[in-house]
Amino acid sequence: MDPYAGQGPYAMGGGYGAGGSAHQGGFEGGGGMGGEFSGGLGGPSPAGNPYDSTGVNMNMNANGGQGFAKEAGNILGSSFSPLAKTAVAAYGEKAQQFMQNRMNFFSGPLTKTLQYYFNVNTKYVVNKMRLLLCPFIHKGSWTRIPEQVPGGFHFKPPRHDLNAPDLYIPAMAFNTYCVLSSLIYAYSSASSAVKASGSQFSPEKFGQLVWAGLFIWALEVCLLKTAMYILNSNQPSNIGVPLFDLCAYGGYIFVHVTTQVFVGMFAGHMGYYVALAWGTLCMGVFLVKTFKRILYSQTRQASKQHSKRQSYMLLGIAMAQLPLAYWLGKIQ
Amino acid sequence: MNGQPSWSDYGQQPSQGGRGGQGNLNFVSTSFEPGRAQSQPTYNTGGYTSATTSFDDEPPLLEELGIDIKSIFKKTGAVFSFGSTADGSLDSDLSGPIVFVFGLGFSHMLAGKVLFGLIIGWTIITSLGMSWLVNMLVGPGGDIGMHACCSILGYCLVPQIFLALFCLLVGKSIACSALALFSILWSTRVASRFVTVRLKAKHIPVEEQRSLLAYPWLLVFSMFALLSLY
Repeated sequence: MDPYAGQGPYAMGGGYGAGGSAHQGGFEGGGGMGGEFSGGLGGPSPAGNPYDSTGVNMNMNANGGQGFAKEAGNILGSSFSPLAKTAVAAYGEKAQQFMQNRMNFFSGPLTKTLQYYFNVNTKYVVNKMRLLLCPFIHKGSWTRIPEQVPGGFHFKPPRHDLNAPDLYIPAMAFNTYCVLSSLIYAYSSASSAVKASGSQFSPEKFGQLVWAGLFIWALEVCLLKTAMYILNSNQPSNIGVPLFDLCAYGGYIFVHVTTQVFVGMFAGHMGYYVALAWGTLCMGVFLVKTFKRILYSQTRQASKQHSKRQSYMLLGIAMAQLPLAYWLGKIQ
Repeated sequence: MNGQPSWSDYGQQPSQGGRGGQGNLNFVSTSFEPGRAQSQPTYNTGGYTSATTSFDDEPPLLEELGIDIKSIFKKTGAVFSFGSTADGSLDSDLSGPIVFVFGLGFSHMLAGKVLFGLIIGWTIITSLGMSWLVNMLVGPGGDIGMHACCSILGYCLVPQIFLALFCLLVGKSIACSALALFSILWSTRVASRFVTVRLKAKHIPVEEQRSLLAYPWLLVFSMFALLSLY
């Protein structure tokens, strides 16, 4: 292996991508997250200074275990002297364990669970946005499509099923809400109310928006979880809704909040309140319809005495959206 | 004068004990010997038993540091051509982006806002988020490492530098907002081109998710553009 081969030393993608299996992909992910980045910033030690042991250690930590010492040398390419390469190989054991701890993050069960929620395509996103913004005209059914896979009973992923919850839309809507609010703050000096103080935007405000939004999201998820628990306590069967489903349903409110903020940018206060009312109504309807299906799908027989409590609970969920949306949208 | 080492003393063999207490200086002397390429000092520190190579065999400094100027120019050219020549650039390096990040910070500093730490911090966090998001969206097997995401983000900050300079010169106005919109869209297009090129190289179909992959970049660059606008 010619240590002075003329490869781009930061060709991490090329170096790691040589093995194309999915497992390798997982390792790339784990390595990519922490290892590549620290390797990139740390930089290789110049070959003329072998006493910079801290530099060598940094490279060792960042760039691979014993089995990958060759690749590591390759990946950092032309920049290593043979001295540093032997050092990398010597410390390979420790580094390999380090990398394996990192590797589990991207190929573990948490990732697989989350990837179900991001298994979307553009068609799904467009249709789901239409469903969220105007659930009244939806003509199809609201139930999720189950499929029987070996090993259990799963629902179809969002790509194939419009009613499946996903986490892409809430995450993007949350981000759009933060960006849009920052934009409004930045342009608010144009309005007459705050002319004296200049623009209200500062980067710290963005952080505040993010934390406030996350807090509201968590509150919403707690609300839904509490509702599920209360409805569950008298049922013989166990209605377990996964936490990420609740996060997804709770995050859909950000779509409405973003639209109401957006409308409020152009239509002033009146338009903002109209959009607020509409958004809350849509969110309430959406949640009621979704949770009714969840509840009915779990119980074998609809028991009469509990259905009243259920409908009140669902109505309560719907009405609780209003203060949350209002608080989030209190920008102007 | 007898006991003081002078510059003319360098280049002596380290075994000469006449100059007392020069332990440290010996190490330095091996690095600063331009002409004495033949001396191969042996080091007694544990682990490094193989001798280092002589000075003549060492690669040039930029190659050692991993800075490939041609590749940086190629990728910057891809940025300027709105992403249409992005097909060849699959290696990710951080030296170009570091220059651009500092350039952006410098442009903001000219306007009176010292935002270096903020820009660097946002770059890191957003590239973490973007690499996670792409990993989730594309599914198993397709992953853009954080290194590559950082590199993509850094290169696409070039339009933001233009925006910052323009807003510095012209001030807040309609033209500034129009240029902001244009530069955001420019950055987004280039970034999504880079991402799809990398994913295509791994043979992952991206046709269905192209806009989904592009939208987060829009948000990211809007944030960076907002820094110039307030």
